[in-house]
Amino acid sequence: MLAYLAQNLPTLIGAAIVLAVLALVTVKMVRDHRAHKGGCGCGCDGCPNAGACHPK
Amino acid sequence: MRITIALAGNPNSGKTTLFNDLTGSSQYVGNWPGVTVEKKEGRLKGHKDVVIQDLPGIYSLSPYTLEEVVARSYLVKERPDAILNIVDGTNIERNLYLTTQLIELGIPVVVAINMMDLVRKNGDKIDIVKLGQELGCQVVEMSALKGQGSMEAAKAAVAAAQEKKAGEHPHVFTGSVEHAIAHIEESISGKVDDASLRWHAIKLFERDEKELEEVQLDPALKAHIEAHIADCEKELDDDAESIITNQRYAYISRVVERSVRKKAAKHALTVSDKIDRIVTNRILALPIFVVVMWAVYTIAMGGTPVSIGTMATDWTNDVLVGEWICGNLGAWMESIGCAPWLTGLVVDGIVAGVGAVIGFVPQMLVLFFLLSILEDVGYMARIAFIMDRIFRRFGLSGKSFIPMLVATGCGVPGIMASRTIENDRDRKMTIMTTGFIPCGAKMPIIGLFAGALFGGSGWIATSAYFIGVAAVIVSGIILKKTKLFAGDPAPFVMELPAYHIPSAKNVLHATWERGWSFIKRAGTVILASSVVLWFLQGFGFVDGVFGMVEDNNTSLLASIGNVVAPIFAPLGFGTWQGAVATFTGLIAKENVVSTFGVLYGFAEVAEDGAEIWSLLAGDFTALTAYSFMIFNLLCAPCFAAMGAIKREMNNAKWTWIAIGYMCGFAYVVAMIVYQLGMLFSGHFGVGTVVALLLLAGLIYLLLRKNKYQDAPLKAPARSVAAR
Repeated sequence: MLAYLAQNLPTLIGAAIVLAVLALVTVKMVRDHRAHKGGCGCGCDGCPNAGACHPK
Repeated sequence: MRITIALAGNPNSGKTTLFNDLTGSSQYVGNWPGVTVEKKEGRLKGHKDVVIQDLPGIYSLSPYTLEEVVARSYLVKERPDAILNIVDGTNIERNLYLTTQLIELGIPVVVAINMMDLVRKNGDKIDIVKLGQELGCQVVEMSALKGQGSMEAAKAAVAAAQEKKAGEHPHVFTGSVEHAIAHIEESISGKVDDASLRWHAIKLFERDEKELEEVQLDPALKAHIEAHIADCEKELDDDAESIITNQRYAYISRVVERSVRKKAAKHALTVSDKIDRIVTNRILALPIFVVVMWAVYTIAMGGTPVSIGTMATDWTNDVLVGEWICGNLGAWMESIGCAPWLTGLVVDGIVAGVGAVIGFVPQMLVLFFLLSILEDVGYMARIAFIMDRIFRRFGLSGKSFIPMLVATGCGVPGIMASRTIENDRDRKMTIMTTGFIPCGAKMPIIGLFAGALFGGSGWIATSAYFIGVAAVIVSGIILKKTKLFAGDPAPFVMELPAYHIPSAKNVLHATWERGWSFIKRAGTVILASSVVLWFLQGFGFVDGVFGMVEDNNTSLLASIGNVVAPIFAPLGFGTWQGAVATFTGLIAKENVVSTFGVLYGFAEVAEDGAEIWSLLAGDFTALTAYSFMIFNLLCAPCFAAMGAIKREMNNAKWTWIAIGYMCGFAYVVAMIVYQLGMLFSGHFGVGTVVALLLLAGLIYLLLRKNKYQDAPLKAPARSVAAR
């Protein structure tokens, strides 16, 4: 087991990093979706109609 | 104690600039009327208990437009503690019309004369003390764009709110009108808020439908009020609404005569007028517009000798992503012993997909920088005016062009901006056609093909923009002749702002906002899509066994793509790669480019030293690439924009009509271009015949008589030039 881990350590660390990034991206996308933002390509701060999605 | 200050004023009078200045916000400031559709809230810098409310620009408190309804509803129902009325000092007569109505609301009002720097430059003088005495409220000076006097104006409004004392109502109307208003006030006392009794009485005198609906008078009282109004109308020989409007203007003329001294001769042309004589000239306007847009797209996305954007993009693609990241990262991962699949996932999936999109950021930034300058200078507002002249000839309203101007950044706010169009049929048609204008996310598609197959010609990007505009016009003409969209165009009255030197803050902020949002999407949606695509194109069944495949033509993605690819064969790109890229573009349009990045692989290309996009160029000819580009520019937009269409249509049937129309129109145009283009290489087949029939059908739909309209509409566009 330890030998396997030692032999594949770079792959395991690399895969863990990729998985962590993907998890963060997914969480961010879900949060944005729930907050009704991030769907469009201009960003809410610069959107002339942001008030329609975010009244406050 | 919480204090709410509402910023109210005419469109393009500088409310949002002042709002940003007072609150430290970075709301979008557009140099054309109608930028703010919804109200926005912020806290006054250094005064957390003071809330600043930015309202849409309005000319009056009549409920004719959505902006007026939003602003009026807020002012009457929510009643802020004070109103800071922004008045454009260079157009004081027109701006004071709203001021007279605001004062009648019974809310403390502070009038801030904006653009005082321009007033002084013109040699005009405004006696603010005298003006304040005439209006019965405090008047202050400021220049929001230069940040002069903004905080003083806000503090004056806060002081007025703390005093809680509205100014004296000035004598706006003549005796008989005042008499009728007094009777109405007496009749409705206790039924409405006492503080705004006069405003309600005047609105009832005008027979304002919204007011009548809200006050709910009993028939006897209604008849009693009507008798007073009728008496007054008979005496003054005019209708009630016109009486009020005319007397307001007469009052404003008297006020201006006493407090404003204008240096300019009556008919002298301003610099803006002189420029407009050329820029909006009936013959020169369009050629100038084409040249300006060509210059913009050439500098941003043209060939390397002239294009700053292309030079930076080439460096990003070839050196940064291709050599440094893909090359070195792959080698490093192999050297430390990472499994080949992980190296493939990171280099050929994530980096290739995200890198392909990121590579176009420099071109996008340059493009948006230039478009922001054109907007801030005031040129884009002229384009709406020029387009109105063209649109109106075909029964369309120039008001439809405002959402299209917004859509050059992103289709979503463009589609949402259509809500300012009062005519329901025109609004629906605008929603259906706004997506034709190439948004920021479509820029990488244009840049990719222009660079890979057209030697970076600036005309490719320029043509993409004008294909979008032409698609809007052609669709407008065709749809206006159908029962669903027939009808007269809505009137379009637009104030042309004076030309001015662009504000560096506005331009850089608008550019950064769009660029940063693009980068964020690359790091989220595009990254996730790239991983999924890498998996689907890297795995498949070989001899009945599932696993990694050497050749992605045997992958899962190829199997799926090959099912739908024949649909696109008549358009010239019936390969599984083209089909997959088109479908992934529905998630986000940038995905088209990232899909090619994953499928054609950055790393492989960089290793053998060939041009980054040479593999792509090997699968597409110039004609198929152009057809692909046209289809992807005009077909259904991304899911976010489709969601916006659904929200604005508020009807599933209309949403599908809109998306179906866009896809159908894109298919027909791309097929005509490809099949007729093939004629030049001597190819004639069934596809050519179908394309010729489609072209004939399109021409028929364009030229057929409009049976829903008796006479062609050739009314000229109306505009009010700012002076």
